[in-house]
Amino acid sequence: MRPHVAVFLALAALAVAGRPRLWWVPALAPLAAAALLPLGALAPPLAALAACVAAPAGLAPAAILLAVPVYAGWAEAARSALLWLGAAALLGGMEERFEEVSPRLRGAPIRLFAAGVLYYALLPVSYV
Amino acid sequence: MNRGPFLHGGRTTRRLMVQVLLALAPAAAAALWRHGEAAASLIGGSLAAAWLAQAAFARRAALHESALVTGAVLALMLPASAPWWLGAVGGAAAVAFGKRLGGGPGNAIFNPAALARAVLMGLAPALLFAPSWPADGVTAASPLSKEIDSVAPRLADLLLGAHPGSLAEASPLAVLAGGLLLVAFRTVDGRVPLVYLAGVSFLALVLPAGERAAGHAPWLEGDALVHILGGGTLLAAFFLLTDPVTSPFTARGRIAFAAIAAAATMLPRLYTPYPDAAALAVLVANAAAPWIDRRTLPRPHRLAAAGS
Repeated sequence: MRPHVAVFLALAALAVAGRPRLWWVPALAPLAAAALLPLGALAPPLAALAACVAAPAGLAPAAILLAVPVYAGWAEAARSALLWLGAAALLGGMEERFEEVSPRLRGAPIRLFAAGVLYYALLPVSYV
Repeated sequence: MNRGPFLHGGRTTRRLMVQVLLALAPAAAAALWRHGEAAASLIGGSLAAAWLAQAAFARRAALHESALVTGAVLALMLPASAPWWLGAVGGAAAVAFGKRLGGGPGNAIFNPAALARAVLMGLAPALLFAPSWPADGVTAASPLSKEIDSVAPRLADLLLGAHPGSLAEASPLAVLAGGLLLVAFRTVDGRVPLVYLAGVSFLALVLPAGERAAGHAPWLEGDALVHILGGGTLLAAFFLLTDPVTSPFTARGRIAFAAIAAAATMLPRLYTPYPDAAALAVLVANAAAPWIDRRTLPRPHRLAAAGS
């Protein structure tokens, strides 16, 4: 799984689960995965396990998704962490606006829609 | 934003939309002149699909002009080599996803035309990123592309649209003329295009180009004119970022909004293989608009927005 896809699947998980106070914690998962890279094939499952154990309740799915990709190195992991922070902050900033949309769309549907749009809007980041 | 009570200025949504359509006419005419039938089918397909989708979704006729504006702006963002059906799919997607699914009438979170452009990028990337020259068999690289065969654009070519690109690139001067008309009639806030274009120029002058740009297209570094006249910069400045529904409420907020869009336009151009990301930059700025509003709206408005 490409890191960009993982970030936005994690964002989708956050959109469905709601936004806890410690929403930024999953940003540590890519860094943990990068730190475990010397372990080779063992790195992804160990990183996922560590992310699952360390993440606060409700954030485990997002943390696991961010830990699973095989990052090329620290730079790519840091970029994914920053992308997660930026995209999750943008999504959180839109919450007030989500309250104004038609009732049928409120909640997870409009959040997922916005996350999908951000996937494409921020796609150039994955090519830096 | 000022505090009420307010006086009605006599302007209606329909009138504003008709003004925007008139302002788009020079760019559409230039595209028709340069690309002929290909431009006609793209514009026609996009307009018809957007109007039909709007008519199917909304019974209020007042909203139909906004669908035509969306369809026209989207068509001008598409490459001249794109098939007519791409315009039709985009026009329908703009209304279905941008206007209906994206918040409902008057509540769209993302600019519908920019959103449709992103949807088309996902559906048919080859048709948007590898434009060919359909009319006379001459091939040339887009002035913003960073390929091995990229060639430095001449100013005359940029002004006359003598290179492959979107319909709007057929005549940047026509887009500029229409945009200035909107500013003169105070249909849009002139500060938004001004800050955006100033931001694009500033970043073009000060940012060093990335490896790929420096290697294949060194003219992208330090040449503001290429970045303003090439790609969708002018269209975004006057017709996308000025959308009142998806931009911040306050003048201060709109300045920050335009600055964010300028950065989001220039960074991909200089540091990624993307030839142009003006439409994507608009979406990024749209996403930041509520955050900007929270920091720039006067306190009573903020309290009301927070439900206090």
